[in-house]
Amino acid sequence: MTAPLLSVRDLSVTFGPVRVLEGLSFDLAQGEVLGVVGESGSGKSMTALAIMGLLPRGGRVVAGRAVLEGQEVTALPERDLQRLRGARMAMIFQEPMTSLNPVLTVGEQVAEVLRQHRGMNRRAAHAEAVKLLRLVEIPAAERRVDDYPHQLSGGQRQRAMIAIALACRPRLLIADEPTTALDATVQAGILDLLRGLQREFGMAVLLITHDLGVVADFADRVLVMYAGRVAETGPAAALFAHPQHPYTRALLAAIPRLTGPIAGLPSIPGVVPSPMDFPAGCRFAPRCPHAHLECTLAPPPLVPLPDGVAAACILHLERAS
Amino acid sequence: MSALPVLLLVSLMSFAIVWIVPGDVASEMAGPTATAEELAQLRDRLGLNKPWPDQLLGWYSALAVGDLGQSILLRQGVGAAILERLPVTLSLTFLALAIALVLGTALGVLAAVRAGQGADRLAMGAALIGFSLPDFWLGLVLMYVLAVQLAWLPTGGFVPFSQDPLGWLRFMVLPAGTLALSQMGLFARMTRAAMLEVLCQDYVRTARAKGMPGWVVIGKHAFRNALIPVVTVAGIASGVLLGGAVVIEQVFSLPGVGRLIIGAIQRRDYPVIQGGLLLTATIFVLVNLAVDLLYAWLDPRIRHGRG
Repeated sequence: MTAPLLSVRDLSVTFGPVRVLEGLSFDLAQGEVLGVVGESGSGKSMTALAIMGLLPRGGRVVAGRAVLEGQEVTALPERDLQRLRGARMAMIFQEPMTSLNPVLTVGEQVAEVLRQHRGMNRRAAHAEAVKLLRLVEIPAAERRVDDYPHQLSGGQRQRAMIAIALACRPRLLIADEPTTALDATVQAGILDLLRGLQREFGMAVLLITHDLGVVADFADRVLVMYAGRVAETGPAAALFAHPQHPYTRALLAAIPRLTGPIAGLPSIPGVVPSPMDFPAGCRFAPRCPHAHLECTLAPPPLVPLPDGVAAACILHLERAS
Repeated sequence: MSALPVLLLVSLMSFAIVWIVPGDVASEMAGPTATAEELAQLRDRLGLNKPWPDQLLGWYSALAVGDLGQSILLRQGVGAAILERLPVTLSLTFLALAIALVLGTALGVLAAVRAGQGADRLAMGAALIGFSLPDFWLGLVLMYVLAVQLAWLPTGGFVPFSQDPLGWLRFMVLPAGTLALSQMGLFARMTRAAMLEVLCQDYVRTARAKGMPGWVVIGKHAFRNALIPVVTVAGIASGVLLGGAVVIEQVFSLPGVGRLIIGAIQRRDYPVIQGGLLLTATIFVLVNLAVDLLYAWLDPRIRHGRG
C-alpha cells in the first residue's frame, strides 16, 4: 500500500480554553475525494484551516499532526507553509462574493499565484490566467480577465476562485462548502466543473459540506463529524447504504424525499452543543434516540466494522465485544 | 458635482463680509483719525455708496476676469499679493499632508499588524500625543531644539522650490513636520481601524491561502482596501492643515497667505480678507475634487458606478 497523500492523526485544535477539534484522524489517498459532512459547528472548517495553517487568531493545534506528502504541515514554520499553500495544497471557500479582493482584477488575482509559485513574468502569468479562466469555463475569458470581482456573478466568482486554486496544479484541493452560497442551478455547474477537473488532474479533494446529496454525488469516502469528533467514516456507497452511527442515520433521515406523502421535514431534535459545553461522554448522546447512561460516561472509540466502515458508537462496541 | 455651488456660496459670503461686520466698514478701516473727506474717498474706492445689487454685480464681474480688487494697505492688487505668497502656503500644506499621510498610514499599518502588542500601544500613544499637542507650542519646541540648539535647520524663511529644491526642503521640513504631526495621529488611528477591519475579510484569508508572503498580503491585499476610508479623511484633513498653516507661518515667520490674511484682519484690509477667504475655499474644494478622483481610482466599484 502506498503512503497516503494526506494523513491526519489525532489532530486537536483549541481556541483559548475551548477545544473545537479533538483527536481527529483520517487518510486521503492520491486522487481520492473525501467528503467531510456534519452540521454547522462540527469542526469541518477548522479541520481544513488547521491543515492549511490558516487557523484564525487564537486557534492552535495542540496535539496530533497533519502530514502532506511526507511533510508535517502542522509543524512547518510560516515561510515553508507559504511555499506549499497555493502550490501543493489549495483551498476554495464558501463565500465567493467576499473571497476575492474587490480592488484587484480577477486576472491579477490569478496571475499573482503564478508569479509567486511558478516564477512567471507578468506577461506569461497574464496569458496563463486567461487559459485558467477558460479552463473553469468562464465565457469570454480574455475580456473577463481584466474585470473586477463585482462585475462577475456569484457562480463566475467561484469559478475564478477555482482557477486561482488550480493555477499551480495542487495535489490537494480543500473545498469548504464550495456551493452552499450559490443558487441551486449554479451549484450543479460548479460541482460538475470540480468533478471534471478532479479527474483531469487526478488531484485529491477534501470536500467539506453539509449537503449529503453533494457527497453521494462526488465523494469516494465519507467522514461524518459531530461536535469536533469523528462519528463515522467509510466508503461512500457502504456508508449511505448502511449507516452505522445514529447521527449518520439521523442525517440521512433528514433529507427530504421527493416520493411519498409530504409529512413535514424530518429533523434532528436539538442543536450541536457549543464547544464550551461539550458533554463528557458521547457528544451526540443528548440528541440520540438510543442513548443510555453509559453513553454519558466516556467518549466511545471508533469501532471498525465490515465494508471498511468505522463508527464511534457504544452500540457497536457492545456488539463487537 | 458639489464644487460649483460651494464656490458660489463662498464667493457670496466673501462679498457679504462687508455687510456682516458690525459698524461702518469704511470708518473701521480708516481709523478714528480719518477726516470726513478721507472716509468718503474710501467709500467711493470700495464702491460702498452704490446700491447693493450694483455692488454684487461689480463683485462678480470683477471675479469673472480674476480681479479680486485692490489691497488698501499694500498698494497692490489682492490677486498679486496672494499669488506672491501662495507657493509658501501650498508648500507648507501639501508637504505636511504628504508627511502626515505617509508616516501616519505606516504607523497605522504597523499598529494593526501588531494589534494589542507593545508596538501597537507605542504607536497609538504617539498618535494620541501627536494630535493632542497644540502645534504652535510644538513648533516652538522643535524650533528651539532642532534649529536653535542643534542648528541643523534654519529657524525660518523660505526659498521657492523652483530655485533650490534642497534649500526649499531645509526651510520647509520643520514647519511642515510640525503641522503634519496632529493629522499624522489622525491618519494613524484611521489606518489602524481600517486595517483591523480589512485583515478579517475573507479575501485576506484567500490571499494567505494562495501562499502570498505576509508583506504582500498586508501591503497589496489589505492596505489598498484600508486606504479607501483614509483617503476620504485626507480631503478633510487638508482643510485643517490649510487652517493650521496660518499659525505655523506665524511661528516660523514664513511669508505665506496665512500671515497676509492675519495682517489684513488686524488692519481691516477687507479686500484682502475677501480674497483670502475665496482662495482658501477654492483650494479646499479642489483638493476634495482630487480626493474624489483618487477614491474612484482606488475603488473599482465606484469607478463602475456600482455598489
